[in-house]
Parts: sequence; structure tokens; C-alpha cells
Amino acid sequence: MSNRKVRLALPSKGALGTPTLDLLASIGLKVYRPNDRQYVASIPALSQVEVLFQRAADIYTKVYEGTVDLGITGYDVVSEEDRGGNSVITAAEQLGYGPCKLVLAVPDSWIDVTDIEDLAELTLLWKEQGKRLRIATGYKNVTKKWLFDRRITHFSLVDAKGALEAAPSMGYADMIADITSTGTTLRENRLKIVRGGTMLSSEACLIANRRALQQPDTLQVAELILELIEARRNAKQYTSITANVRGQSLEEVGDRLTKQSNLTGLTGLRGPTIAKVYCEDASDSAASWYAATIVVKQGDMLSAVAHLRQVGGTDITVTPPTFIFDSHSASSQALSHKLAKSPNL
Amino acid sequence: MHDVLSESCESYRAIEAQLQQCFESFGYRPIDVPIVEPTELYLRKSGEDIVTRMYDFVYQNRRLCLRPEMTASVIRAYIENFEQLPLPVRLYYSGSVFRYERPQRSRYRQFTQIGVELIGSAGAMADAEAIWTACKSLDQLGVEQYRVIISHIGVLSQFLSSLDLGSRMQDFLLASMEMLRQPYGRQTLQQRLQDIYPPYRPPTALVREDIPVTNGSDDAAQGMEHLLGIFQGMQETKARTAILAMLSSLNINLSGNRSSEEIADRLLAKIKGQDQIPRIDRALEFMSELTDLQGDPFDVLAQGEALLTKYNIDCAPLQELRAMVDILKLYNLDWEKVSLDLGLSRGIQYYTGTVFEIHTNAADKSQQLCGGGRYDDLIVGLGGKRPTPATGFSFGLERVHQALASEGKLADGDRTPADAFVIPLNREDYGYAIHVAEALRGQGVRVELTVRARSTSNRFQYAAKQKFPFVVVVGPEERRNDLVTLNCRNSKAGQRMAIDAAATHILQARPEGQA
Repeated sequence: MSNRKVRLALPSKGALGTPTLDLLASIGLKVYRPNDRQYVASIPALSQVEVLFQRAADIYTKVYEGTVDLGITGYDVVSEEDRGGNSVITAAEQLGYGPCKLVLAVPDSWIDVTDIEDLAELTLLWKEQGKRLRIATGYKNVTKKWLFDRRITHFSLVDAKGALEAAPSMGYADMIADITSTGTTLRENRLKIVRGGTMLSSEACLIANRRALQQPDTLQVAELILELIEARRNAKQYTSITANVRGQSLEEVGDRLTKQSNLTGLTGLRGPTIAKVYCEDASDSAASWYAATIVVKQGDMLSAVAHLRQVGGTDITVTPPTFIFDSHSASSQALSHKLAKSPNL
Repeated sequence: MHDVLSESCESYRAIEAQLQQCFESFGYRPIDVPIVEPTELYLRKSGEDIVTRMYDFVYQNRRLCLRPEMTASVIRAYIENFEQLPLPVRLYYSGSVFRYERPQRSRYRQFTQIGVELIGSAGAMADAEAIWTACKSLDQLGVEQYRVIISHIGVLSQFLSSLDLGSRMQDFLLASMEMLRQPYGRQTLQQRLQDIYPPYRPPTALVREDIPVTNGSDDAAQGMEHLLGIFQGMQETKARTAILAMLSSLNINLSGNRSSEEIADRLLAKIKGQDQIPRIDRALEFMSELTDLQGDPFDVLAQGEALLTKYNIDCAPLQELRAMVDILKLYNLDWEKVSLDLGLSRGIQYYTGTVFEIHTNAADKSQQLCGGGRYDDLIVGLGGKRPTPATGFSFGLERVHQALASEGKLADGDRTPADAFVIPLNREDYGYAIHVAEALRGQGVRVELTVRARSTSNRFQYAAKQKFPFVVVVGPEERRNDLVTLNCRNSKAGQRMAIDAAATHILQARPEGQA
């Protein structure tokens, strides 16, 4: 078993295709795909992994069946394809990209329908008339369950045939339930989102076959991906600032930086790091130069620069950190918690 | 879904047979209907509670489902086959029904309903007889710890329709009666009300802040809210004209399923229906007063009449109920077990009149064994040619079985699979062994003939393990003389006798109650 590679399925195209490759590249796991038509690829930095490109919708099935061990796909797909049981584990629900919403949308002309309760009333009105509200969707399971939970039962779901947004004007459905990220396509097709009718908010997520995670190799890859993504996301919120400060001693510079600070959060995650700068021209012996490094939130960068200037800082350089690792990884801890909670059947 | 293993299966069958016998004694005839039906059948009349739990699927482009209950199917069959028969038509059924449940104890996704439909008779006589039939069935089965709870759906539904609430709200309130009985029921109900009617605020809420019209961002909806305000100030016909004019000037495609008139009418209804809060509170008030009305039938009837008069509602449902109770009193019913509970509403939407449930209170937890009621609109609702009143009820077989078990009334579980085990001593005796086994079966003895190639001593060991009361041994000697050797489980020595004598012997030794 240990000779087998860990199989990771990635979306081959669509909204999650390129962003997924970009994300992996940004955490140092660039995917090497010899040519675009090939469905197998590799990650040179993770030689134990074999990458398989699949349609986003198929990835859940492959993980469920166990023909791949790990997969990145949309949470919308996971919710729709969910078959109960616990053979698929959602290792991370939000990887931080590919956001979209599953919404209910009705024709603009339905000016009497603004929120979900209007829609519920309409289904009852039609029930009396022997008509049924036809909803075109590619998300039959989520839509049905969501509406049932709200005691809305008098509707039928119509299979999506191509351009879903056109279904109401083409006449094969009355309204739609579909994924949208900006709402533009809906507006262009004269559809409006029903208020309170957002059934799902989705992002890209990492799923895994539970049995496969029992293999140390697979678990290790899953944890690695999670941890790198987490560290990368953490890093994006922060920026690292280094300034040269003239002072008497390490302690004196440290005091100046921390004690005067009336702006909390501007002295770094724990406090500034201060190191001595060895200048070539050491003629001015009364004071030497020190390099102070602080890591602050992106939004606090300018205030932090101002603060450093105020205490005599100069040569201020700002660099983005690539990763920020905590003492432990919250997301891989969450994964082992999930694994422990419901053992394999 | 679960397997019903031999022991339970035997007692299920026995209960089923007894119930059927009781139904037949009232003139009911059996009917069997398909397990798979077009989903449409249940969508037309069943309540959300059932519709949301159906095993509903598409097969070869047809939308089908496993039946979630029996009445709709039986009525469909009645409409298709029996509508020309003289009324009433009495039908009974027994079969599996399927409803999705989250896995939990004593809730099964497949269970058995056994019940009757009394079609074509309105009024108190039929309702009372149906309730009596159900009670008598339980009496005959030996269930003692049960309570009959009777109500009339008309009390609440008349009140709600007089309030002119939207149909969605009305359905919700009807379905929520049970919730009011739970601890903090009213609070829970008020919270859930806000889900379906966001402007709702309970009257006691301290902050009655202005209702947020939108959750931010939604400009189009906000614009609509504003327009509604304008239309609200107009006379209805003028508002209608204005809405229609606006719709046509918007130049939007109305080629779909909805005409501009329908949209305008619903918009007007929506404007009129705004600010339902006082009416909802009135409904809640009435409903909680109603849930308090339970107990002795005649007391509750008197209190109910007072309540309806106070709210200025027609007392007709209560009069119907009184007439029914009067007749029910004529039956030999243990009146201690009967109570009226005007808060009982049952989940299924097709009920129109008297409804009842039977609960067991054995084993400290109350469980429903039976439910039923009058459904005068269902036959037309499912496509019947003429209005036909009807009533009916059904038992949950598994629940009845449980009730009998917890009262210790189930027949002995360790019944042996057969009364006698036949062992031929030699190959040559097989033919005679078959003859003996058949002869004994002919006399009503349950006989197991050995079928495995084993030694005689092995066969005796098997018989001992199975605890067969008798072992019948046939060898050359017996074969020649047309006899058998009968070995009783408790004695070593066998007795040689004729086949008929052996049969009599075996049947006499059979314990009481094992038919």
C-alpha cells in the first residue's frame, strides 16, 4: 500500500480550475501538467502525490468511491452530491476562494414576489389552481431539502438544460435555483434574487475519503495542504516592516518602540525584534544603529510606519510574509478532531 | 428500514389476523393497493409533514414514490373501481408504508398500517362506529392501557379562516397546535413564526423597534417596499389599474406562466394582508385557550361552546361533536378511556371533521397506536365524480405490537417451529417417512421432516436442540405395520402407535393458545 501514490483530484476547468492551480502554486505546490489535454499531473514538491483532473461535480463521487483519496471542489457540489453516511469527510469547508451562492431567482416581472414567504404563498395559491411551481436547477437535492425545511412543498424540479437562466423566458420552468457570484448573469436575464432565498454559501473546499485518511501518507498530505493554506491565509493579513533606528543600546531602542506606543497592535505580533546593525563607518560611537522588525496587520501598515518614524526610524522596508505558522495548525487539528469523532464504519 | 425476524413476524401476523377479523365483523372487505404510486397522488392533498418525508424518485421520466400512507391509494382505487357501488363502501387494508425519518429509536422508515375506510356516509353514526371499531379491535387484542382522544378539526380551522390570514400562515398555525403543548411551546412557536413571517413580534417583546425592511444591500426590494406603501394608500380598483399600468410600462416579458392580472391580484392581496400581527396574536390566544380544553367529553363540550361564543364563532362543529359523542355513549365503551381534546389537530391536511387518536400509556411513555378522522373533501380532491363523505382510521402495527409487549400480552415467544420431527432410520424408509409427515400435517400437526444427510444420533441431537416436543421415528418395522414410534421430549422410551393416534397425542400435548 505504501508504494501507492496519494491521489488528489482537482477541478479540470470551470470557476475553480485556474484559481485552484494558483492557490497550490502560491503555497509552493505548483502542479506540473505536461500538456493541457492530459488528465494526470504531478506536484514536484510532493512526489508522493498524483494529481488527477476531474469535473468539479465528479470529484465528490470519486472521493466517495475511494478511487481518489483527496479532492478540491466547490462546497456547493459537496452539499448537492452528499449521500449521507460518513465515507466522505470535509477536511476544510472554506479554502478562501471560489465564493458563490446558491440562490432562488424569479422573473423581474413578478413584482409581488420579494421574499421567500411570497414564494411560499404563491405555491399555495397555485396548489389551489392545480398548478405547480417549476424550478429549473442543477442542485435538486439542496433545493428540495432547503424548501422542505421551510415547509414549502408544492413545486417540481426541472432538470437544467443548458443555460439555466433562460429557462423562465423559454418557458420550461417558472423560476430557477442557481449558483451566482455577482448576480450579473441573473440581471441580464431579467431575473431577481428572492430575498431570504440564499440556500447555500459556498467556497472551494478540501474533501477526503475517510478510509484513505487512515493511511499515514494521505493524512500527511491533507494536513500539509491545510497547514500551508492556513499559514498562507494568515500571512496575507500581515505585513513585515523593518526600520533602522539609532539608539544607545538594544534596551533603549526597545523601550522607545514599545513604551511610547499609544497604538496597540503596532509593535508586532508579540513585540518588536531588534538586532544590532554593524555599520562600516563606526566613527560615531555615541550611538549605534539597530534594525527593528515588526509584523502588523495589513491595514495598520501606514500607522506603523508613522510610529517607527516618530521614534527615529529610517530606511523603512516593508515585505509581505509568505507564510505565518502558529505553534500548531488549527485546520489540521480540526481535521483530526473530525476523524476521531466518527470512526470509520 | 429493518428486518422483522421470525418471532416478531409471527406475532405481527397474529395481530394482523385478529384486526382483520374484527374489521370483517363490521362488514369491511379487504383491498390491496400498490406500494409504488405516482407522487402526484400524495402531493394533491397530503400535508407537508408527509410530503417532505416521501421516498420520491423519477423512474423512466415518471415521478413515483413509495406510499407514505394508505388512505390516498385506497381512495384512488375506490374512485377508479367502486364509484358506482351503493354506499357506504367499507374497505380495510394492511400494508407497509414508507416515510423518511432521521435514524432514532422506535421510529422506523418502513412500518405497517392496518386500517379501514368507511366511504359514503356523513354524520355522527359513521364517526362513532369508526371510533368503536378501533376500540373494539384493541379490546379483542387484549390491549388495556389506552386512551381515546377525540376532537373536531372544524373548531380551529373555522376560527383561522375567519381571521383571513394567508393560506401559508393558516397551514402553519394548524400544524403548530402540538407545539403549544410542549413546555415553552408558545415561545418556540413565536420564534418559528418569525421565520415564516419576519415582521412578527410577540406582544410582550420589550423592543418593538421598527421592523428592518431589508437586510441592507437590496435596493430593488427596498424600492418595491416603497411602492407597496404608495399602493396601500389607494383605493383597491385604482391600485389595481395602477399596478397593471406599471407592469405594462415596465415592458417586461410576461410570456411565462403568470398573467399580469394574477401578479396584480396577488400584490393587492399582499398589501391587504400586511400587518397580520394583531390577527396572529388573536389566533395564538385562541389556540392556547383551545389546548386547555381537554378532559371529560361533556365538560369539554360545554367549555368549548362558551369559548366559541366568546370569540363569536359558529358552534356547528361542536354540535356535530356532541351528536357523535351521544351515539358513542350507546356503545359498550369504557368511558374512562375517552376524552375530548379540542387542541388535537393531526398532521394530515385532508381531515374535515371529527378526528381521533388512540394512545397507549403503558410503559410510562405515551405512544400513538391509532389515528383517524373524517375527510369529506378527499374523494373530490382526488378526482371523484361526486362529493362523497368518508371517514377512516389506521393502526400502526408495530406500535400495537409494542403496546401488547409492554403489557405482557404477547403469546409465548419460545414456541417451537414444529410440533414433531420425523426421522427415518434408513434410506428405504424415506418414502414411508414422507407419507407419515403428510398424514400428520393432514391432521393439523406442524411437522418438520429431516432433510440433511446425517446419522440418526445426529438427528436426535438436532431435535433436542430445537426442543421439538415429539420425535417420530420410522424404520422397517413401523413401515411394514403402518405404525410410528412416538418419542416424547421428556421421556426416554418411545411408544409404537398408529399415525392417527400419534396425531391425536401430539395435538393434545400442545400448550393452550398455540393454534
